[in-house]
Amino acid sequence: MTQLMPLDLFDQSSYPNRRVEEWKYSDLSRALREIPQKDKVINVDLVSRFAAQGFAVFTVRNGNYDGLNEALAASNGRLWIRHLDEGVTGPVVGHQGRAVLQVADDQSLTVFETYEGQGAYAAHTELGISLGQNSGFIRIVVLDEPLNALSIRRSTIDTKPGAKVHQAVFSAGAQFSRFETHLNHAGHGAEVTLDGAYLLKGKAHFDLTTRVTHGEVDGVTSQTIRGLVKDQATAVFQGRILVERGADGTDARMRHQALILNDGAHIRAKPELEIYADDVQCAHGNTIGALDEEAMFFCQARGMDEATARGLLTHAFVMPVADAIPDEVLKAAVLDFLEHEAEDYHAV
Amino acid sequence: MAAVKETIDTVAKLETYEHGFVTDIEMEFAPKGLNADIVRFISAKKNEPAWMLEMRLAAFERWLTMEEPDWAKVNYTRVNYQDLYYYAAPRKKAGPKSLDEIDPEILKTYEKLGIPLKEQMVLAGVEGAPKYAVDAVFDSVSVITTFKDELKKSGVIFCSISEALREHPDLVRQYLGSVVPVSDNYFAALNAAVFSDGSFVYVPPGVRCPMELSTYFRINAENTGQFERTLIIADKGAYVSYLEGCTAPQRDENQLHAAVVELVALEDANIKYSTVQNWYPGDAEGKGGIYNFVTKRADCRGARSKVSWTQVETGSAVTWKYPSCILRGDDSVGEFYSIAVTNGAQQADTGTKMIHLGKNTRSRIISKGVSAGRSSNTYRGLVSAHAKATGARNFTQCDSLLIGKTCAAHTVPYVEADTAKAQFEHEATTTRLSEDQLFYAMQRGLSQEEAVALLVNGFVRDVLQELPMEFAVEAQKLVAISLEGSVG
Repeated sequence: MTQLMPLDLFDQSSYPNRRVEEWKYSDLSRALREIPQKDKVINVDLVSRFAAQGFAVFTVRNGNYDGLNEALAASNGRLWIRHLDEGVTGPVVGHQGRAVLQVADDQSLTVFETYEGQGAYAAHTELGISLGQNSGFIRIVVLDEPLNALSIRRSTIDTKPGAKVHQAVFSAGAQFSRFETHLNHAGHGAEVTLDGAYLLKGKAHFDLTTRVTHGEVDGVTSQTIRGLVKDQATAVFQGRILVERGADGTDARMRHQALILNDGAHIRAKPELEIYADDVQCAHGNTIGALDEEAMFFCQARGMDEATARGLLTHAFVMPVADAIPDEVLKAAVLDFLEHEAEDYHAV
Repeated sequence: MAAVKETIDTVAKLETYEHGFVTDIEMEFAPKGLNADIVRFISAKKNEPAWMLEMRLAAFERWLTMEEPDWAKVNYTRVNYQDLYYYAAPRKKAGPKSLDEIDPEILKTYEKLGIPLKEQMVLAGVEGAPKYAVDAVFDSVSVITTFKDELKKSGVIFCSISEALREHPDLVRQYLGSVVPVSDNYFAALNAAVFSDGSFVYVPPGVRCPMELSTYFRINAENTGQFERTLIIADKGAYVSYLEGCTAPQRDENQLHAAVVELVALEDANIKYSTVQNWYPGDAEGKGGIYNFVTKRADCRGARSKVSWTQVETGSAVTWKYPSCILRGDDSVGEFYSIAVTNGAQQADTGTKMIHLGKNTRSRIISKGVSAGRSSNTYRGLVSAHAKATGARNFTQCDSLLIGKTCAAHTVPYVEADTAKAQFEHEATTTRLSEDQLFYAMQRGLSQEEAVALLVNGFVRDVLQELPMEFAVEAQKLVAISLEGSVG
C-alpha cells in the first residue's frame, strides 16, 4: 500500500512549508496560519451544478464518507461521489475525511468525483483506491470549489497486473488547492493514464501533484496535462515517474503544457524522472508560453472578434484532455464545465 | 589492427587511474583544522589588504552558522572540516623568474599529465610553441603564469587572484563576491573564508583576448581541500575564452574541492567558459575520490552580453555543481552545454540555472548524461522568468543514456514562469544504449567497447561541438575511457 505523508488539519506541526521539497511551491503553513475549527455540521444542502445520468449518487458532506462502500456495492459500477463542503461565517472551519475504495479482480468501476462548496473552509480528504487484477477504473475529477476555500485532496491508487486506469482531473482552483495522486504501478500489462487540465483565474492557486512508481516490468504510463492561468493565479504541476530497479520494459511519458494569458500569473512546473532500470522508454516534455499570435491572427482574419478568437483558442487548448475521457456521459459533463470556465477567457 | 592496438593500450592504461600519481615536493602546510586564526594565517601569508581579511572573516562567521545542504541526490561520507589542511604551498626556492628554477618535480607532473595544450613546450620556453596563456595552479598557489607580457600589450590582465589582490585591488574589490555573495551557500561561504588562490582575468572594453586562456587545477597533497576562486570580468564589448581542465592524483581518502567561479559580462561582452573535469573518481567500490562541490555563476550585467558554459564531467566521486547565468541585461544570452559521464560508484548531481530578468533574454540548455556501472547521474536545472522578462525564451533538452542494469538516471527540471510573454520548452528522454545500433557497429568489425565509445560519442556530439578544438579531442577520449568496462 502506498503511504501518504502524515497531514492533520488540526495539528499545526504537521503542516508542511516550502522547505519541504514536495510542498516547495504550495506552502501550507503560510496558507493556513491558524488551525481551523472542527466542524460537526454534516447536513450541507447544496445543489450540484453537475449532472451525470445513470450514476448512483453518494454525497460526502463536509468530509464525511460514512456509507461510501454500501453506496459502491449498490452502484452497478457507476458511482458519482459528490463532495460538498460548507463554510460558516466567523472562524474558518475544517473538514477532514478518509475512505477506501476497492475494485475486485476483473471488475470495473467508473467514478465521477466532484468537489463543490460554499463559503470559506479548509478541507482535507484522503481516498485510498485498490484495484484488482485486470480491473478497469475510470476516475473523472472536477474541482469547482469557492475561490476562498482551502482544499487538499489526496489519493493513493494501488494497481494489480493487467489493471487499466484512466484518471483525469479538471480544476478551477481555489484560494489554495492541491490534488495529489500517488499511484503504485503493478506493470505486467497494466496501463495508466493520469491526465489533468486547469483553468485558473483571480488569485486561485492550484497544485497538481502526481507520483507514479513503476515497481514491476512492462508497465505503461501516459500523462497529458494542459493548463491556462490568468489574472494573479498560480498553477503548480509536480509530476514524478519513478522506475525502480528491475522494472524493465516500462514505457512512461509525461507532458505538461500551459499558457499564461497575462502578466501577473504564475506557473511552477517540476516534471521529474527517476530511473533505476535501463531497458525503459521514458520521456517528459514541458512547455509554457503565451497564446499563439499566429493562431489569433488566423481566427481574426476570418472575421472573429478578438474575444471570440481568444475564447475559442483557449478552450481548444484544454480540450484534448476532455476528449480522451472514455465515458460519454462524463465527457459531456466535463465539456459543459470547460465551456463554462473557458468563457472567462474571452477577455483578458 | 590499429584499432585493436589502441584498445589494448587504452585498457592497459586503465589498469590504474592514468593520472594517479603523487608528486613529491616540499610542501608548506598551515596546521590542520579551521578557525579564525587559520583564516588570518592564509590572508597574512598572501599579504592581502585589510578589507580582504575582513571579507574572509565575515564569510567564516557566516559559514559557522550555516548547515551543510543535503537536498542533492548524492550520498557521501560527510567531510570533517577540522581534519583538513586549508593551506598548502609548494616551497619556493627563489622567485621563479626563469623556468629552470621551477621545481623539476612540478614539471614532471605536467609531463605525466600529457596536457594537450603543449603546456610542456610553453613551460620549457620552446620557441614557436602555440600561444596559450597558462595559469597553472599547483595545489593552492599559482606557481607560474606565462604569456603575461603578451596579454599585457592588449591590456588583458591574467594572473593569480592573490597577485590581482596586490596589483589591482580596486578591480578585485569591485567585483569579488558580487556574483556569488559570501552568504550564497555553505560551500561558497567556506570558499570565501579560506580560498588560497585561483585565476583573475580582466579584459578591457572592446578587446578580443588574443589567445585562449587556460588553467590547470590539480589536487596534490593528501588531506588538502582545494578552494580556488576564479573571477573573470569582460568589460564592454570584450571577448574571452577560458579553458579549465582538471586532473588529480590517486588518493584513498576523499578530498574536498569547493571552488567558486564568478563571471561578469558587461555590455556586448562575451565569455566562453569550458571545463573538462577528470578528477580521481574513487575505485569501483566507491572508496576514495574527489568531492567536487563547486559554485559557478555568471552575471550577464550588460545589454547584449553572452555567457556560454561548456562542461565535460567524467571524474570525481561526487559532483555537485550548477553553472548558472543571471540574465540581467536586455537581450543577453546564456548557454549551458554539459556532458556528465558516471561509472563505477560515481554520483553526479549537476545542471544549471537560467534566471531571466531582462527583456528578450535567451537561454539554451543541452545536457547529456551517461550513466554506467552502479553510478547515479542527476540533471537538476532551474529556468525562471521574472515578470519583467518579456520576450524571454528558453530551450532545454536533457537526455540520459543508461548502460547496464544497476545505474540510475534522474531528471529534475524546475520551471518558474511569471510573465505571459516568455516561452519555455523543455524536453527530456531516458533510454538505454540501443542494442540494434551496438549490433550494427559490431557487425562491421568494431569491438564492443569501441562500439560503445562510438555510440556514446555520437550521443554527446552536440555538446562536444561546443568545446574549443584542443579540448574536444581530449574530451572525446575521456568519454570513451570513462566508460571502459561498463558493458559485458
